[in-house]
Amino acid sequence: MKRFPFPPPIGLLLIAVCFVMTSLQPAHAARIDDFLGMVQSQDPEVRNQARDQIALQVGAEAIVPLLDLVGGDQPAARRCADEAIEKIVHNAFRPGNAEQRQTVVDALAAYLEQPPIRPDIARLKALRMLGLGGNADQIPLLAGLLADAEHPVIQDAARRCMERIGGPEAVRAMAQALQQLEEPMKIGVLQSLGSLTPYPELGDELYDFAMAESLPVRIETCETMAQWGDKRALRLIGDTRYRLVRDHPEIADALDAANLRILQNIDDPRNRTALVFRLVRTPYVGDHIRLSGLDTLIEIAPANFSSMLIVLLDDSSPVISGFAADYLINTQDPNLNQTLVDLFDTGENPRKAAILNVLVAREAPEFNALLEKVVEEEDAPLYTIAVDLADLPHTREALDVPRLELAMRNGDEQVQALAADMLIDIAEELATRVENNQPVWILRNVLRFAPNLETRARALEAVGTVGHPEGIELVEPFLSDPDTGRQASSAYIQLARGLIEGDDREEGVEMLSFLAAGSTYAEIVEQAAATLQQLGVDTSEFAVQAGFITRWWVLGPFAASDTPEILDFPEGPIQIEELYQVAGRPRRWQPISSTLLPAVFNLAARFTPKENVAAYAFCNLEFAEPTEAILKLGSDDGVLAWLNGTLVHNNPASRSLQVDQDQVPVQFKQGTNQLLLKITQGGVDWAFCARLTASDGSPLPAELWKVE
Amino acid sequence: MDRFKRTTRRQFLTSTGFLTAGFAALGPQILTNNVLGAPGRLPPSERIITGHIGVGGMGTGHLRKEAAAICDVDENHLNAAIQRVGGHAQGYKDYRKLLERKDIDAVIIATPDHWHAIMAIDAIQAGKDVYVEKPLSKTVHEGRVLVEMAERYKRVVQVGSQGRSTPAAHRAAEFIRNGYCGKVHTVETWHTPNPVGDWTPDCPPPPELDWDLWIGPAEWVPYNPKRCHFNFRWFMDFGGGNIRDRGAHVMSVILWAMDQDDAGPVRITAEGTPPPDGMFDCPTDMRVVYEFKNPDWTLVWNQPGEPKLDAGFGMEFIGDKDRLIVTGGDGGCGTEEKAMNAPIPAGGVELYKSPGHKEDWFNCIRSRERTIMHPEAGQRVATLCILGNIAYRIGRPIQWDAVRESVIGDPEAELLLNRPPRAPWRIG
Repeated sequence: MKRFPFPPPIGLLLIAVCFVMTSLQPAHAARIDDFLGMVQSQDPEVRNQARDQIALQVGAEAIVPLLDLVGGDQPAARRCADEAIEKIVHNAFRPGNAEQRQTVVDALAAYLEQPPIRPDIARLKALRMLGLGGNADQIPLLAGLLADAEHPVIQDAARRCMERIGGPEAVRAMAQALQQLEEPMKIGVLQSLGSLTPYPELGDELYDFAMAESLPVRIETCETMAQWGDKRALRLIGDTRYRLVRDHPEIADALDAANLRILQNIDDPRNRTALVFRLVRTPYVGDHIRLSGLDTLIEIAPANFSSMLIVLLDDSSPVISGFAADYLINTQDPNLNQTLVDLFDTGENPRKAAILNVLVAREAPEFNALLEKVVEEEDAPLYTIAVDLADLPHTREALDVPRLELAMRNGDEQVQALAADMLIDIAEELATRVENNQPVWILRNVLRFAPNLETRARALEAVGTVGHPEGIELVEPFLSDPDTGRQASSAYIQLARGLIEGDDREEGVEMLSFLAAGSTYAEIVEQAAATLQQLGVDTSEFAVQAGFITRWWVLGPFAASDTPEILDFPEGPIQIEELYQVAGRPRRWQPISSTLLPAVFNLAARFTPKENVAAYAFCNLEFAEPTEAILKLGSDDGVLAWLNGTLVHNNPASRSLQVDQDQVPVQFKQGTNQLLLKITQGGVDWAFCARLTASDGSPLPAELWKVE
Repeated sequence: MDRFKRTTRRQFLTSTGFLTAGFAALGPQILTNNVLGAPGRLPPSERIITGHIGVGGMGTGHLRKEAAAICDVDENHLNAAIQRVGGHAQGYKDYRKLLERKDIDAVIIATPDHWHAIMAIDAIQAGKDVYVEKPLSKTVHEGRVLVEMAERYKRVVQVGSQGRSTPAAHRAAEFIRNGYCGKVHTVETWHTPNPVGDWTPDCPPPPELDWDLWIGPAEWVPYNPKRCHFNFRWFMDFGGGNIRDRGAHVMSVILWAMDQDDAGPVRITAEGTPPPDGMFDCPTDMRVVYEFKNPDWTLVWNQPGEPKLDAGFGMEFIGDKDRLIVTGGDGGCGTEEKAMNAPIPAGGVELYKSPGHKEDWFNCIRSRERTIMHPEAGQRVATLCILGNIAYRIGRPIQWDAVRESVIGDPEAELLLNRPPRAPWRIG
């Protein structure tokens, strides 16, 4: 008797399970329909339940109907179906799950095989998912989609799907499709081919194809062949450059870059070195490509690399000569100094001067021998440079400053400006090397004879950069200057910091306090206050002195579409005691205050919800007499302002807060003035601040006004 | 006023007859060498002429009077920005035209995230120094290409995670590096949740906006006002939520303090709650655990987590001796007094102090030194953000090889490290 493979109870159980599973088949189909119904539900909770369960309970079978919903016209169902598909696909494509993977891939392919009347958005989704797990079996299908010129969005998605699947089948199919495609798609396909594993057998085909194509396609083919390391690209590039660059200079970079990529892949190192160096020396090739060539030479490290770089020292491009000098300065080659001396006489003056520079930077004793040689030969220009480099007394700066000062005082307008600008350069350079007051003296004269406001502003900035204490008295007269006060104040802060970091903290704090309390520039007030706060100085008084309104009543948050009419169109005085309905609940005005500078109020920390809402801020301002002033507002996001019931400002911005972003001229009456703000909020941060200044930006006198 | 900006001192003296004819015969080449100390470098005092790509929310704040060109695909943004710098800057819709300008030394990129790396790579290849807003890239692959290109073309790149340039982050990093907390085994972060969107219908783009150019290399979708300006950050395809937006600030400070700028985790586990309703697709709540080895420590991204010191986001370093809270992580970074006042111990670590994020970039453009938030650090930070989102999307942990920047044993996750761009856009 044949033995029953399982003990009777387990066998019976298996039969029962099989029976149950068989009997479930129609119910399973009904289950899909149930889920699809849930996906289309108006209730987000039901949709989310379907999304979370469908991957586990249905899987691949739901893909096609879900894709239909992705292409449907119900936004909520579209997103739900989209996410459900993601869950099914990611679950099926997890490692070690070949069977489910294949089922899902088949379902996606089945959807794409249907006639192209389906919405692009759904087919895009299918292609995107297929790209994450597809295989060579789908390449014919994708090649068909790639050929469908009536649907360019799908064509391109099919191309990217094939690129992700990769492999020789994808490369062959894309190469075969090239001829029939429109130009933009040809370029896309060539880019995909270039990113895939090289397929040398297609080189001839691509070459012939390119020769019959337009210029952009030909360049892209060069790129692809170069990425494949195909040497025939060199010929293609050379031919194209020779024939076409004169009329189309814009293609040169692409061709030269492709050229370099091919050269980098040449097997024979000597051949590669020679050809790359030739390209590096070619003056009409772009600097960045020549630099890449130099990097290649570094990787190859040819024995004569230093000699190559010396040749490049007088290159017409400062980028290339700069690279050569940098490399020579920093290289450890013990024979380099002597090589430089040996090659000194082989070049013209520019190269000689560069060699002198390099030797000095390398602190090479060989420099002295060359210096003597230059002095003996009485070559005046080289002599000047050599002496300059040797750091002898008549430095370049000393030579230039009197002449430039003369030019600044006596030249025409343009010469004056140029000379002043260069003197500022010298002062800044000098300050990095000397500690005496010479740079300040140069700047003092620039400020005295500054031919225009721009120069004066730059000179003031430079006083801060130079950072010498004698600069303080240069800057102070300009702190309230309407044209250059900002630069002067900025320099003042730098100088104050210098004092604090030195040994005169008291003076530095006094300077910063002066700015924090009285500067007309918001960013200066902020910078000065921030520095003071870092130093532990109490800044609360400065907020009031700087005109910030530090106490408000706030009310909210209202849904953006649900703000009370009585506040948006305030006809009479606002009553602080009044009750408002906020999200169905009674709310009153709440007091808030700040001692910070700037006095910024964070509404996001106070109110919930904090998306697509608005809040009101209100205060009574008491004025001793009628006053013209500027109401300066900062808000995240938008802000409206009513003064005594009149809308004076409306900026429905979506932005981050900066102090004084909006500036509104306003007229306060004597007595009590009601100021109401509405601060709107889209999402994330939510805040506001407000301050008052006189019309010229100066602080309003403290005795003139107060917050009631 | 090109001449004003471009004339070197020597050229000027030569042209105005203040130098001898013999000296002038040398030409500008060696003079440049002389002025610079090393040839071919931008003179220390020369003004840096910038081009600005993307001038919406963040880009507006980067505008400077030296802007020679401004680019935006939204004409309203473009025109407002040109006015803001005084009307002299040339406007462009296509950034490639701006990059063709030879007079522009450097560009500032403040576009939506999906453009960052591709634009930065193109700018580097065009020979420009680059300030690129955070996060550095949309994918790990394009970020790595950017790092390699910056190295190859010797360009100075600053990533806009400006927390590192704040005094608080600097002092906090020194506090941690000098062992005041002992051995830090865990860094817990907190951040407010991602918002929930509404169901704004798709519609034709407004006439001032080139929607196809706005999408650029990303997957095509119909225009929707809630998918475009500002709100792009709540979509996985364009932004990636707060873990990428603010995470690129928070994690920048963490990697700096932990001295992990060239490292990465070995395992990433993520869980999150999809938005209950609305069109945004980034999870509202999220928890991502990054496990690092050698040294062993764990970074936890908590969204929302437990707020501290009344700050909307921040991090807490937890060591075997003490803890340290750092609030924010962006330009508004703060930390506890004990870190602000802690002295550097003898022989301790003293970190470079940035004078300000953009100022550091400008200084480095002149000196050709590495920026405080250099591209390698930007890449490592962006990679953390990206891996968190991938682990959340695929619903399973990721085993990560930080040296090869590759997923171990999960081909699907590996594919998500790259994203073939839409034609005709290319990565490098």
